[in-house]
Amino acid sequence: MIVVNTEYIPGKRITSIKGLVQGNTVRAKHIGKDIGASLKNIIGGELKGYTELLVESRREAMSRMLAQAQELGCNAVVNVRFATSSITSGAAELYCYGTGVIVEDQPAQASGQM
Amino acid sequence: MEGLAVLGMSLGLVMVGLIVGKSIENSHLRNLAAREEQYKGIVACNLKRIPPGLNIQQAFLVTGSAVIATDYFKVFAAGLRNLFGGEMKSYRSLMERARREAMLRMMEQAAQAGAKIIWNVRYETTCISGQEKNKPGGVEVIAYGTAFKTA
Amino acid sequence: MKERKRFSTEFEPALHGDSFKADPAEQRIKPLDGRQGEMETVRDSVYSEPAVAGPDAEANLAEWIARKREQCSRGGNLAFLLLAALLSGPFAVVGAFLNGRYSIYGLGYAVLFAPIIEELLKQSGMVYVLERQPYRIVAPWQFITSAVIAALVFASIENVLYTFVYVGPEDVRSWTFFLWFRWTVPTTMHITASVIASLGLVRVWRKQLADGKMADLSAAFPHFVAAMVLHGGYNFVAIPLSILLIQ
Repeated sequence: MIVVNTEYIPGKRITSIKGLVQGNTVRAKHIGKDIGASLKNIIGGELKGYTELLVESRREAMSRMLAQAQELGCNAVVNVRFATSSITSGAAELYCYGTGVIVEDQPAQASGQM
Repeated sequence: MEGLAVLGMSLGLVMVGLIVGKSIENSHLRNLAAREEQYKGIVACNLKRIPPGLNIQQAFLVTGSAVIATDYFKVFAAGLRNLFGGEMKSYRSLMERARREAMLRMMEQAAQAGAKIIWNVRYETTCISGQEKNKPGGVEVIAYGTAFKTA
Repeated sequence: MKERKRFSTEFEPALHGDSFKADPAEQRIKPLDGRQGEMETVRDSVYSEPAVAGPDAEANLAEWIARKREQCSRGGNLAFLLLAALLSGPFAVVGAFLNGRYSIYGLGYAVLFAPIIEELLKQSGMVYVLERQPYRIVAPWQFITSAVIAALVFASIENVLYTFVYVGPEDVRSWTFFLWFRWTVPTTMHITASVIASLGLVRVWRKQLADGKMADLSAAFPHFVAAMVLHGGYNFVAIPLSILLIQ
């Protein structure tokens, strides 16, 4: 599976557009990390517990999107976008969407076309 | 004993949220599935560049938005999840419902005008806070894109 | 003038072919943050990304654990685990005090809020080890032993508090019975609940090794809930009963 956030993949040609594929997740860290983060707020700096939360959420949302793409028979997802929103304190919502497509290798002479 | 009474009342509200909220959610999900089947023919994608081969007669903006509220059970379940970490499934389904609803409303607009393609779809999400601080009241999702009428 | 100098293009790495250099202000904050630990490097590896699916996505964590295990001595590991277990008890007591804002609920507090916070914090030491230094754990019995130690420490502190602070000799009919009761029934209850919760941690640990992902405490959810229900149920029966018996 090729995943890119550009609209087209260099060297490949999009043969069919399957539609929007997406994945989302709402995750939280356990209370220990929340306490750690509130202590870190006193001195400032990176909130490592929440960085970890975002890393996990991003991977979860991404793999859900890829599962959808696989279901549609796509071999690439182009123009991937991420969006986050804070639904409740201590939790993160990560939403990931892109266009599922089927691509094939582009013949050399046709480069520059779609 | 007074404490127990207060606690019992909140537990009662959670139970109401569980039973009524769950049935509302299930009927909404069934409704979404039926409508999605209906608009299966509409292609939506978030690409910006328009393929050169397309014969476009008319292009116009279509939007759809939805606000879905949480219930007491969802808030309670999420609060418990906040202690242990992990995925908050109750809120995930809430966000998903709001997004699908917004998307469908956008597709309905497109279908009314006779368009079969929606290009450059974007989503915006906002969480609306509830009466209590830090507790969500609901989520608002707006979906928008450009619909094409092709010859 | 100073501002203009700081934002001038001569500091842009892209224009000079330099590597990234932190802003002086960021450099000052650095000691607080520490550097990127080995654990974060494993976690942030590009091969763990679902879209990349590298050759050894799962082997990453296992390899790191195996490497770190070689560097640690057996005695050091055991001492570290013992320290974690011993510290969990007092930590849980502090947590229970800090959680006192819910005590307006009276008996509801003792049945609902206290068990949740106490059961979670009794395992705090082992959760820390599991998340930050998982290579120090080699067998499931270490979780159970630690849980027993943490529960004993917690129960002892609680018993001492009850004996010297909450209950005076004039409050109870039989002082020997009170002491005998405190050191048997509630202590056993604390140990049982902790052991149940620690079985959940065993599950998290096994899952972590099998999946090659960082520990996720949510796998222990059912065990923790069972421990909390046991604890809360005990409080629900014992507190009204002890008030009746004592007065």
